[in-house]
Amino acid sequence: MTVFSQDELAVLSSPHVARAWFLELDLSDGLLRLHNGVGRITVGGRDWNGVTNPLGGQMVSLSNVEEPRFGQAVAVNITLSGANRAFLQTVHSTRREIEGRRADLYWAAFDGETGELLLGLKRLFPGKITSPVIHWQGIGSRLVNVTIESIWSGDNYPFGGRWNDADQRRRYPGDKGLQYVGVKVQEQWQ
Amino acid sequence: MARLISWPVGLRVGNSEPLSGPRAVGSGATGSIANFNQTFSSPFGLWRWRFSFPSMNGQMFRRYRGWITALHGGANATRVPFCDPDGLTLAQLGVDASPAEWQAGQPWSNGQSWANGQNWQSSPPSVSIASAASQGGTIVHLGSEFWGLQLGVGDFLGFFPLHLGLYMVTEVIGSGRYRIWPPLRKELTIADSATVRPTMAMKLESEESANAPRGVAFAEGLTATLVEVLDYDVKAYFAG
Repeated sequence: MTVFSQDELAVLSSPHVARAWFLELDLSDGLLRLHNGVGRITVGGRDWNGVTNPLGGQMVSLSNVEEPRFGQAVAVNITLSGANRAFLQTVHSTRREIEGRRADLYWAAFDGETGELLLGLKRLFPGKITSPVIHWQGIGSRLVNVTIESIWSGDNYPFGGRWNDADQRRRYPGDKGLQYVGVKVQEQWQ
Repeated sequence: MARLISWPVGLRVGNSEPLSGPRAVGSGATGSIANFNQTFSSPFGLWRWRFSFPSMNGQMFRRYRGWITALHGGANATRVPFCDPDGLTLAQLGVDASPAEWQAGQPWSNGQSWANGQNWQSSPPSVSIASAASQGGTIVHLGSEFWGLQLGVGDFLGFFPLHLGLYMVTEVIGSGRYRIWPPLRKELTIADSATVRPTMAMKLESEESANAPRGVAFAEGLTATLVEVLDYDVKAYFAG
């Protein structure tokens, strides 16, 4: 599966790329669409609100996005800060409903001067929201920390199974060949 | 409800400097072993300016510190009128007046000034909009009167009525068409007008971004760092 076509790869290999992350949170009171630039923009026919702090700090921070692979449970940490009181109250009162809801991370590239869309939304990380964590620091700092787990986290086992007895019997019913793999066997010679 | 406060009457800017805005967030470069550098940045910029003010005392300083306090470290926004000292000359603006006449301003039609002895202030002529443009657009088309065809790269312009934003010409396309940065904060209709005295809404970028030190005789070393507030955000959040 290729995420980017040849034309899009040509855009991505240009000397300058202006890009933003887009987060679609399916909260209980409706879809929340955010991006980590500034301003309200329309991409893909939908309106997204910018949550970057114009001071240069970020209101949304995003941990590294890793490629989901077998054997690895990947998760993305998202921090929403500078949120107003109404938003925090919503998060607090609906925290049980939020858990397990859909959260998709998209990526798009823009023209650095005009802000025109060059490369449309790519869904790079479909996931589910784990329980949100609200941090209170001092008088002014309010953070909402949300971990988004990949929908592939549930498939967290090696492809083809492990080299142990249970998986060998699943592969070949009745096969006892790996019965003592990983088991410390003591033999006594008399 | 947060307020939109007017710039103090008579407050002049001594030194103004544009600073890097939110496009710098998450920007950087990666280089290949052959030294091909790919730079990346966030899209969608905002104006961010640092203003220094001349030394002042008395009433002007009272107005200044009242203004800084009322901005509450970003809670309230302020209108920032831009007057470009490097802008077009009177002749290029299409004004037929001597500098002295321009300074004196205009009296009422009966020849009288205002009660405080001041005339109406002179202001450059405005130019019509030749074709509409949508919000986020980067090409504007001005009418051919006055300075509509005279702008060059680096000229500041703005639009009215009820349009908060400062734009700079970054490319002259010809016959009144210009590419501007930043992209339009509000849609333009042919009923709007263009001006070389733009007004932008800005707010303090943090609690620490303005000062008001007072020396023995004067308040000196006054600076404020302000960041743009988008037109639609002003209408949504600073309408009180």
